[in-house]
Amino acid sequence: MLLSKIKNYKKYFLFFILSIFISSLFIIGIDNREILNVKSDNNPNIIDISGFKKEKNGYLSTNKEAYVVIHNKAKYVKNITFSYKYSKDFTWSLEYKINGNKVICDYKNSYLLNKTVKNINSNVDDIKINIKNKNLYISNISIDNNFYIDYSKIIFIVILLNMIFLILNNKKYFYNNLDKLFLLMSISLCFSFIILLPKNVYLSFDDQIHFKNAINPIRTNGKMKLSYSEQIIINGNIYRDNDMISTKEEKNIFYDYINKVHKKTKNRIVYNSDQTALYNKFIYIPFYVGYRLGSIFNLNFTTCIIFSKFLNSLCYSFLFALAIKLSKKWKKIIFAIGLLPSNLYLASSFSYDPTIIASLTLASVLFFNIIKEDKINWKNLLGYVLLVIWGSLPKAIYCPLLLLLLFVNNNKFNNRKQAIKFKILIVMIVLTLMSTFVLPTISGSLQGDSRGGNTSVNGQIKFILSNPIEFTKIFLSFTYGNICDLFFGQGNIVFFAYILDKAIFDFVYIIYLIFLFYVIFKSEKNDDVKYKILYLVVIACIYCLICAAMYLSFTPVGFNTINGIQSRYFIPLLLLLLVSMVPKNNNKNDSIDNRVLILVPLISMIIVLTIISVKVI
Amino acid sequence: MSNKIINIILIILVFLTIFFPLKKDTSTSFESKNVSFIPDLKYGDVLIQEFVATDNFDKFGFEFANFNKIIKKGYLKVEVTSGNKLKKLNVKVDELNDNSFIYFKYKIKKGNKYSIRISNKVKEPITLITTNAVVKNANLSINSEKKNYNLFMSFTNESANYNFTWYLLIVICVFNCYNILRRN
Repeated sequence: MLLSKIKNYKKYFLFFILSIFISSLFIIGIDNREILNVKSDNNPNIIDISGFKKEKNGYLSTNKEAYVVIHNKAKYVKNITFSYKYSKDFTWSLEYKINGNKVICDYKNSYLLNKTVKNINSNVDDIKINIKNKNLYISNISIDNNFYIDYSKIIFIVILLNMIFLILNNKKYFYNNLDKLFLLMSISLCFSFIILLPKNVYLSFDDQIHFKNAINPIRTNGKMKLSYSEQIIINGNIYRDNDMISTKEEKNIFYDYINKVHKKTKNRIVYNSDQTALYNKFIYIPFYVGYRLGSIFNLNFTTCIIFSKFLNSLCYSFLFALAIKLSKKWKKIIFAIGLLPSNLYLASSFSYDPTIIASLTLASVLFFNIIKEDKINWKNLLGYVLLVIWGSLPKAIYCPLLLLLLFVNNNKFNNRKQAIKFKILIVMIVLTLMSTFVLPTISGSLQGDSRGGNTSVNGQIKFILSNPIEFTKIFLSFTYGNICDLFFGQGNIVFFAYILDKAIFDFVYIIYLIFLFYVIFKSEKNDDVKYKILYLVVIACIYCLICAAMYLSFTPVGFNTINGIQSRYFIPLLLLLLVSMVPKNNNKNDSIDNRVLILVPLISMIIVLTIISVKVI
Repeated sequence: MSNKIINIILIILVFLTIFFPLKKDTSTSFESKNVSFIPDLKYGDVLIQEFVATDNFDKFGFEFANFNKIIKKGYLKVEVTSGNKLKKLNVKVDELNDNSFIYFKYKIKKGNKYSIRISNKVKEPITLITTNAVVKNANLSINSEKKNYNLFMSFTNESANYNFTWYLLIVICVFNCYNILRRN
């Protein structure tokens, strides 16, 4: 056990305290370096005002071109802030001069919040606040140069420093226990992601839908419990617009608001018309358990969101660690896939992809063990079946992976009868899983996804049947232009959906891609040509199914390409693909430098998390 | 022996789910084009949406939005007229989810003309989602003023839900896989 190997607990405890002290000083110093000697001004001089009348302690706008000009005594302005009250969302603007150049910033504010904090971060003299709505009440205008302490950044640096310290002091142990090393790195990096990312949705693909399913997996009589805060998070109107909530201080005001409202409205019942099948909801169990635990301990709504994501990321980490532990070969390939920045991001979001990826990767490992054994181990076989079914419940498209079991030599079974009965059952499971989406498609009861535009499943089927050559050309042209990108593109390696432009991470993508190929070509040899071809055939079948599914449901009828295919659909197949690429002439043991194995994912994630901590509000 | 009994029970359940399936709603809606909102429907405002049914349906619905406001009291007065028949289908607004469809149980017959009259009986303004797509024989008016768009309406039919059948079939197969691997 690791704990018995950590001989000097005092050392780790002291380092932990020191890391909190150092990271606090560092973050407070970095974030507040401009205002170290600058004071706030809670009562700035108003040098000009128009279109307002004095009311109570503030001002009420009397027309749509009201403005107030304040004079800044402190020279430097970090933030300007004021409280407000209005009946709906409104737009307004700030005007000021920096080095003689006029700056105008337009903003939008939600009527639900009652305070705005906007960054200026410059030396300015006078600031003009333009209000474009009548009957808008503003008060408490102030220049805010107070220290801002970003606790999420402090926690991130503390986790990072302690993780690195633990690894450096137990290198030999971790080199021999790659699964424990993976567990430590994955949990630390996922938790850092969760802490640094905003506590809302619309960060990852369809996460608003996953969040809704995660907090209420079971609905009865067309009704469900939904607090107003949960509704606000799912709808996203307030925070998706960057003009509405544009500073971290405003984000904290938003969090305070939704935490307060959630406590008052958490027993609210609403109508719900969702028809998602129950078996598609099982995959949300970790999210639901985390969210419920937070509620039981009466934690804030935003803390419940963190708990919910954290529990799911724990499941991802444990499944991958188990895959590394159980695998007899290619542990380092699994390690590299598990720590892909894209995977860690998905594991830190409301998404069922990480569970699918981890389950199918573990299933692939069990399959590698099955074909290497002389006699079948029933636990490996049943485990493989259950894991593929689990990973296929939300996306039945992966069920052809079960067909790999048909190619297990009958001699490995106790007798031929057992082998045949088992394989017949496997075919029946695959047919049943495929029927869940093929039959509704054929019967015409499946509708197209309106997000893809003018879609129609029936219309598309008619087009394909009446233009088979045209469809084949469309499919081949799409494959030729996209296949490399879908498996080895940035979408699989360093892609964070909606939070930042992926071009920022081009450098990390190139480094990690080279690292992946390094791991493949330095791994233990794979001289089993028959199974290499088999893996590629299964991957090709699943690829065709995904293309067919997206052409039918997400692409306008007769369109000349296939819409909606994302690289993340192929991450569960990555282990099979990379193992097929391992050369047969390699050595029996891998020649991968353990320092490279740890450093590349670690440095990649440090760069990613640092950029996110600075750029994402 | 007990494995045979479990298999028999599971097979009986499969047949039950096939011959007595659960129900689910399958929906069709007006074409969505330039989806937007009607101007705020204030207290007492009246909206009338007319349409001719293109098929038989069990429910109709439209999409509601209330700008994330917390509304504790009030209801939407909904009246459906077809020929000489009038039916009242009011709904409490605090039970409605923002940006979600509200469905009303009401049998709609193909070819019949229907008029849905919605009146806001809530102090706070609400809105409904609209579509600019041309919908044959459909008209919308708000406070007697005709509009060139329609409510984004959805219609549902009850159909058989065989989800549990698939679920049970998979359970039977996995259970028998386990028996085959453990026994022989």
